[in-house]
Amino acid sequence: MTYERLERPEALHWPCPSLDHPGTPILHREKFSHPDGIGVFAPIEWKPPAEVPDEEYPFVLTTGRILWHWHTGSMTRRSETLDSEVPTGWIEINTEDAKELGIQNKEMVRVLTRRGSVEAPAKVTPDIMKGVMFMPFHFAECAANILTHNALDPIAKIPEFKACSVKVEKITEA
Amino acid sequence: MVAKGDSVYAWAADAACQERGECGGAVTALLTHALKTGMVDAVLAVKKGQDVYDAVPVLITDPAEIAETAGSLHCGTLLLSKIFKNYLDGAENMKIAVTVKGCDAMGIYELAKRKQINLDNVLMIGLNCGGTVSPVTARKMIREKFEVDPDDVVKEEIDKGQFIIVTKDGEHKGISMDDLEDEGYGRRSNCRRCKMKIPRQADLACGNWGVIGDKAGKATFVEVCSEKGANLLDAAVAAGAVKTDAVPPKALEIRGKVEGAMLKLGDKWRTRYFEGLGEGKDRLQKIMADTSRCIKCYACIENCPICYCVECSTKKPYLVEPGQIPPPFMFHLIRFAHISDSCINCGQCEEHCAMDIPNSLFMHALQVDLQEMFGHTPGVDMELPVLALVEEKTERKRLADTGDDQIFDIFQ
Repeated sequence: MTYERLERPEALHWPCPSLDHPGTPILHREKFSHPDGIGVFAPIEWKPPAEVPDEEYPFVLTTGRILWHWHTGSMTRRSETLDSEVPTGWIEINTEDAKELGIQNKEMVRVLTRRGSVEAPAKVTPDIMKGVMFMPFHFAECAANILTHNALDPIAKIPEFKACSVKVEKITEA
Repeated sequence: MVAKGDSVYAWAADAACQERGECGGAVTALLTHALKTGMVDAVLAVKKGQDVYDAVPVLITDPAEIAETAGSLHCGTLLLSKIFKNYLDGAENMKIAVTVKGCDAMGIYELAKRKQINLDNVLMIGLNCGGTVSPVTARKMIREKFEVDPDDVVKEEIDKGQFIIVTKDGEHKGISMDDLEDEGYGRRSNCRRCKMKIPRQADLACGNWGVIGDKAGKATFVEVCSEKGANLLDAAVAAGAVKTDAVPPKALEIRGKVEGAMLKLGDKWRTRYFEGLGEGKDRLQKIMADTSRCIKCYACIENCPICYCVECSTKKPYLVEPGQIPPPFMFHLIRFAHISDSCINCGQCEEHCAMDIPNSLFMHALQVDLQEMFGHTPGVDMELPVLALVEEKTERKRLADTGDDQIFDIFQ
């Protein structure tokens, strides 16, 4: 790969191991990069997360990124354009779950787990499964990681931020 | 002395300028004269960047640099109009001579109507344009149809219906544009539909259509389209920078034929593209399906010569719910409502679209329908559009305050 090649309108796709290699627009199209060209699959036994829903915390909370912001937002939240697209976080709640909880779209709710609680506006949508709730983790004012579980994978030590048990309460005026 | 409506053959008096420029270097000589004599403060033109596929806009204040912009670049897909608004204070504080294709000229008029460009300070040197080819398409076409390495091409031209390349070894190769386009190569879709081949709304319209006999290739056909244009040509001739000759009657006839053939081709492509879009609900369905790829990158709005608002309606949360990809269809409806009456089919919204949505086709199809209905032709003069954006509350207040009954008076 050289700058000269990259500056051409059609550009060049990585990996490109030599000066005259045409580049690789799609990876693994012909074969995988194992000696026999075949991918290796290893079956594993399914194991539930360290914390699963129960009567007290009846929903699964998962967290993740959204298109408009990056991690803590220390850069993206300074952008006027991105901030006007998505100014704060939310908790995504399935339409039927929200109905049972008596929660309206955009209503501020209290989100609780065994670790703590935050307040966030509800985003009521059929796009998320019943029984599951989602929060983006970019927003300090409703920080999802106050709620998440720190249980670690025994080998890789990856924390279980993608699944814990949660409940949502209406905020009533004192 | 020339006057508006006259046509002459013109070429540069200076031999180096003749050599460097195309068709006798008249445009290069005119621009140089305008800048040298202080008729303008700067020249805005296009020069070759990395290679023949890369066109770069350049603002020139040193007359010696004008020669760098000589010659045509058909793979340049730039629109110069919005550069005035975005970078040159709308020519408010500077007199600028600019080379314009049909779409550049139309875009400049549309921005001038919206008080974003001061036409008094702009001297437009129009250039005939039969269309442009997107750089990626051009390189693919040269590799696949011409069977030539695109990096070996040192020059390209469009002449007598052919796309012609010249390689570094001096080899010429031409293929009929019709054949190329039937196979999916060739000019950009908006250029195929374009019917502004000779920009007569500029001050001078220059090109090689109608240059015949011993002048062929050695002179430029210059049509004088305004008093400003006449003054420039007269001054350049008086100063000995440009030489002219009378146009033989036969040349006018041939020029008419070339232009007529181009316009007919434009009509053919319009029919093909617009029929392909269908009508009524089918058309709506197609537009909705294609625009559902939108990633809201705003490239269409940033590059549109009609869009000039400080506060864009697409950023109002009550009109377009923010944070959604694809954005609600209202995003596109706002563009259609605000632009379609004035769309000049410059193709920028399509050229820059990260998702290859045929935005220009949609907008142009709407514009042509509106033109048929209301008789307004955008880009040719200072006539205001039929439909216009108004901020309802402000507009109501203005009507109440002034007792005026003319609604949609937005350009005050």
